[in-house]
Amino acid sequence: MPLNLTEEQILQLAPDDSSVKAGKGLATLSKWVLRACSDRAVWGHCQGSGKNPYQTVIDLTDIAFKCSCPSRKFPCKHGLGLLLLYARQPDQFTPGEEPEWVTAWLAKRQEKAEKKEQKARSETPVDEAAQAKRQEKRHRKVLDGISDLETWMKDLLRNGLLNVPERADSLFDNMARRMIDAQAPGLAGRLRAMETIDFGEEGWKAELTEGMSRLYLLMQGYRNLDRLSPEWKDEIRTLIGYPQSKENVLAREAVTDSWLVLHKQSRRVNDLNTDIYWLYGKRSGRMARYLNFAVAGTFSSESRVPGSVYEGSLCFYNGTEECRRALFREDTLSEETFVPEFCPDLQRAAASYRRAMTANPFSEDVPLLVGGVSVTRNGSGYSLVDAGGDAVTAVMPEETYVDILAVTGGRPFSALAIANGDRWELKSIWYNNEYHTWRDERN
Amino acid sequence: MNVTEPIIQTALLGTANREFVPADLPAPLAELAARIREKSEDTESCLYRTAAAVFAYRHSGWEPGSSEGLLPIETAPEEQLPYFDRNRCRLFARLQGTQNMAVYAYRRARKSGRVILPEFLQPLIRRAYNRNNPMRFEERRLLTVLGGERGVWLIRQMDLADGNGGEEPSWDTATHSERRDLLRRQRKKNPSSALEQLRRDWKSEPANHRNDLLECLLTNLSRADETFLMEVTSTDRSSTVRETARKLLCRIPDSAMVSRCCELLRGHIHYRKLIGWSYDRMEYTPEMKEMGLEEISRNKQEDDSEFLLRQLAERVPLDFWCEVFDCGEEQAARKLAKHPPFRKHFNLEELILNFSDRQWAFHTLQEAPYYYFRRPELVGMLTPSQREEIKWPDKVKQFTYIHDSWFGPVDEPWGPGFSSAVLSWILNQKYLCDVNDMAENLALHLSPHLRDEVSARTLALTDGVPSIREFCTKLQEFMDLKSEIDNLFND
Repeated sequence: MPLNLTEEQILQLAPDDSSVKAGKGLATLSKWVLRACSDRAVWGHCQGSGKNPYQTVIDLTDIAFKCSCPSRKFPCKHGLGLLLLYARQPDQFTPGEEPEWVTAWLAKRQEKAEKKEQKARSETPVDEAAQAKRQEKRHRKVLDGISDLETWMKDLLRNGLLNVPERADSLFDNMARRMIDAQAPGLAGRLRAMETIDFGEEGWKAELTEGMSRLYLLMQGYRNLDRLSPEWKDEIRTLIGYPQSKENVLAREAVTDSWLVLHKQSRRVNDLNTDIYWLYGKRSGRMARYLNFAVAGTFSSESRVPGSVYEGSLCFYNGTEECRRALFREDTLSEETFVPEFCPDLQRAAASYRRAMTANPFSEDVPLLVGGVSVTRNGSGYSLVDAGGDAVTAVMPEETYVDILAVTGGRPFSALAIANGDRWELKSIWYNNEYHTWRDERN
Repeated sequence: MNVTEPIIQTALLGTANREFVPADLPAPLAELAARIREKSEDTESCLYRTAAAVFAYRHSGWEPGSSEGLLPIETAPEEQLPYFDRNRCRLFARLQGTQNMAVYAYRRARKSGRVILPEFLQPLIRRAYNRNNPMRFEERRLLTVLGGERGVWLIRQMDLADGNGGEEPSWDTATHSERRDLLRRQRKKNPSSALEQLRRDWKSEPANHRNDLLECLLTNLSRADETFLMEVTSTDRSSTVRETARKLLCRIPDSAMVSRCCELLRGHIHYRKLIGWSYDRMEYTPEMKEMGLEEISRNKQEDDSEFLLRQLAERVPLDFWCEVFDCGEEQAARKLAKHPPFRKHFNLEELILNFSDRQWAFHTLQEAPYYYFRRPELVGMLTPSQREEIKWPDKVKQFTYIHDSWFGPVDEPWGPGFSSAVLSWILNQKYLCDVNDMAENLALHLSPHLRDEVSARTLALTDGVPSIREFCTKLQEFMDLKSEIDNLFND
């Protein structure tokens, strides 16, 4: 089966930089004493430091890995190495019959997928009365938590936020724990985000004041939930931390499109790996966020490759944001890719940002596609500038800046930026219709 | 006006210390603020709500700034040469983890008339400008060609280029170690200009720096350096520097110092086929003291007169021994190797190394290859074809590493005979150190016909010595990598 992935795309699947390095090191023929493939899988034996070689197999139909090595990373370096080697030299893999350990794993995967499908079809009826009781109980707990939080916030404001930096470590953490107890993890998350503000930077005052005022607004919004429209109800509940059931989301009307993965962000919080995929629909022009979670030491087979296109139906979570979280009902990796439509300049991109912020003042990380921009140094930072004489502060690592210069030679390009007020984080670019992105990991 | 600033100031100082009165707000916001104030139960609630409204207002009207004052980036010149395909560029990226393979690949690729794709350039440039990379100057030179116009432009944007176009630091701004490297390279290219460079700053350098820099003259040392070295020997303030200069003079075969040694020794040492070596007595003179010769041997078993003669014998070139044996160079070298004078006290290897006489080393090793055990640099002096003509021993004890001098330029392969010999010495060891570096260097020089043998040995070594097994696996990988480079950059 021809592999429709580039080396860069494969490396995007790596859990961290050390895996990238190790995977590259294993993508040599001499490391693999057995290399074989079939229509749906590729497998091999890698000679490690032990006596017996590791058995590695990759499902090519829906990229997934399995390896007999003891690594807790997923995919492990052997999986990455084998896939890289297959992408580079497919002719060095002998087509053949799948051995028992390969067929067993593939069968298990298929069985699991079928079970999942079956489960989705035959759900046990929900006890609505009990559910309503639980909901009511939680609602009361959240309201109690909000009352405590409000008192705490007012005290803080009365005394002034000026002395927050020196006690930020414990100040927010204690209240965040209280919000977890009150079953309002969304509020806890916002408190923890304020804890991570860089109090050494000049902008902390505005950031903290804005964060606190938004939190207050969210609390008031929750108290007035009954008076809100259904979309806003869902939005506020989601922001407070109420989950929307996967089944309900998948039962909603889906948007069928060719979904381009614009970028992947990986974050690790409390041993939970969260991958955020930013998607763009070719026909609908819609943007979406697809989240994939995996507990450390386990793996998820729901990886998406940046720059690739997935044909499928996306079901959006309820809410008011333009770019909302969504779930794939079904999708397949397409062999074709495309370039999204971009705002022609920074003014139009800013207009998109303004629209998003007007529609939902709680919006954070607004994805913007903008064309005709170039990068330049701005003191110790960087700026995105366009031909119209407009500029915005661009945030990116030095390596990304140099890579952009290398690729574009200082000429204009198109980009995906994640906007947060004055700071636009540059994530991916398109130059001469070619897609380039950089690893975006934070632990 | 910044609408958020008054609110931020009040929030920072605290509502207990500063009264919150929303003022100077734009009309729609002022109206909203007034309504919030009416409905709020206390000042804090009012401030939080007003702040939320003001920040939302600010975001909803956000405009980009002006690019005035920002220096635009000059655009890169158009590339004149075609690019390598991605496979070849990926290979360069893979070579980042190696030491010398990158330079080997660059040299192979240089002649292809193609340049590296821009997106692969950054790590290659960073590596070439890493001060810890011993091959950095050569990598920079090669990348100037292989990186194309974009590479040169990018180096400028990365603020890595210096006044010399990124080639080398200038003498005036260089640190001492950089000056030393600079002088060595200059001696290779233009020995006389390097000598002039050294003369210019000679008096202003401290003694330890003078000594280090003087040692650099060893590269391409010739009669032209004699005058300067004589000056140093007679006038320098430091005894260490004077001694270094004297040693350098002794390494010039036609220098006055060496000629004088020959004169003094001539007639005092005789070789006869039947009785072997005989020596005439020699008296120690003040001239000898000046020449750095010692009067009394530290070895009680050695006669002091013979010791004096030995010191002189260890300073004379092969021509002198031709006179003594009354034969040609090859014969003299072979005879000296077979029948060295002064019994075990005579250090023939040091003498050969002193004059860096390749032919002498070659004939000596032809006669007695076991000499290399004592000084592996002798082997390093030979060309690959000379090494092929020597009958090397099958086994060597304690062969745990390969001397750097054996390797030579990265693109100079060893012949099959020497390759097989070295490989068998290594594989017969019980422990190896620096396995990775040794495997990489060997892969660059070993004859490719040994690849199958290495593979067979690896398979046979499943229960063998871990470091040997690791070495074999790595050697295979590096040999495959080299063969990949050869295939991809086949002229």
